[in-house]
Amino acid sequence: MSVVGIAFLSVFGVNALLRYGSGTCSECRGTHAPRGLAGSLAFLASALAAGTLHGLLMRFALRPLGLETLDPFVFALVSSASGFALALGASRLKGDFADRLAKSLDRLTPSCAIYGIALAASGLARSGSAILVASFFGALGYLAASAILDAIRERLELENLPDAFKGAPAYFISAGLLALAFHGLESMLGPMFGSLR
Amino acid sequence: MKPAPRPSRKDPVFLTAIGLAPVAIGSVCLVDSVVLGGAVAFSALAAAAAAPFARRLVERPLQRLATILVVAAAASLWSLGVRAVAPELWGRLHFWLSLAGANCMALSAAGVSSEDEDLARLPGRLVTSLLYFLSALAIGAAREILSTAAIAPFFLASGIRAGESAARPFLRIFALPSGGFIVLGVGIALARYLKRNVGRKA
Repeated sequence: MSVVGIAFLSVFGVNALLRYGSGTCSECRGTHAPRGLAGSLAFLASALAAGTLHGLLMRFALRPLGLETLDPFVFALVSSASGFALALGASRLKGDFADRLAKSLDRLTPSCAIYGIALAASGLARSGSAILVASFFGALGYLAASAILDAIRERLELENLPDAFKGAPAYFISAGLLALAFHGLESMLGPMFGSLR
Repeated sequence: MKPAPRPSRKDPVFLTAIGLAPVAIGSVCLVDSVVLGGAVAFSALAAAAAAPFARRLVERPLQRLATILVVAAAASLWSLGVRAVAPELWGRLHFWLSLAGANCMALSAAGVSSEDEDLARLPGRLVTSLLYFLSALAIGAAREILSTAAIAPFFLASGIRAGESAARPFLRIFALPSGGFIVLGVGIALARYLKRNVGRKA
């Protein structure tokens, strides 16, 4: 699968839709997607750091040793370490923005959205630079998808739906239809970017 | 017009839906749902068992990390078991297995499992995990029937049918990731409808 495929199908199709359906997974304690410049920057930095580290570890350590099954455990260590380091770095800076950045980084550490991006990047991109590109665009794609889906979610809450379909069922069904549209886009655009692998 | 209430983090249906999301996408057939549903049920149970110990034995700043590591270890253990028993199945579901484990990690980190957890609640959590596993089976079975117009017996390799569905699909949308969300959404709506109607009659 191409890097565009990662952004459109794996990142959007898995994590953004997961967030759309659940509302809790993008930040480990929050109920909203990363918001504002500080939240978005924290998310991008975390996804980039965790995705790249995870991808390199998968490529140079876990796969050659046949230890891919330890993937979740290794990711938990990698993301915690990178999140701690980034939060520590941000806390050294002064000002309100730096405070918000440090708080956002602390909340994001074990986010499954970041893990989805890291998994997609390490599983689908082979070279070091492609993993870096995939991690960055995966995180960017997630932020864009979250913004789009939040708008649709707010619009859905005003619709006169049957009682049984209100809330989660309507979110999941509309998410499924959106994923279908993005799957079509991925099939169309993906081959053009396949060489990034 | 009254907007739909925002889902509560304590709502068990809502929490089940969170857990079901990666399983719903990855489970194209019954066997897939056994593996993925089992992974989440096992990891969630590990989180429920680990949380009280983490609260008692580990200092507060490290409690979240300790719970995450226990859940990650449980997810890795399940993945290792699947790889040993069915390597082909593991190869196909590795991504989803890892993501399901990460889902549990994020949930346990969110404090969903640890805030009110006590060892006395463990039997209740076991029942919840079993019910969750059955829900995952229902989703996998529904997708297999809808995508191939047939269902393989439980212990046969129904993953073969998932492959067949791509070549000779019945309703191909249900073999795609988006089909998982549609089945999950319709399933929750159906369960709500039945619960209300059965509740009224009783």
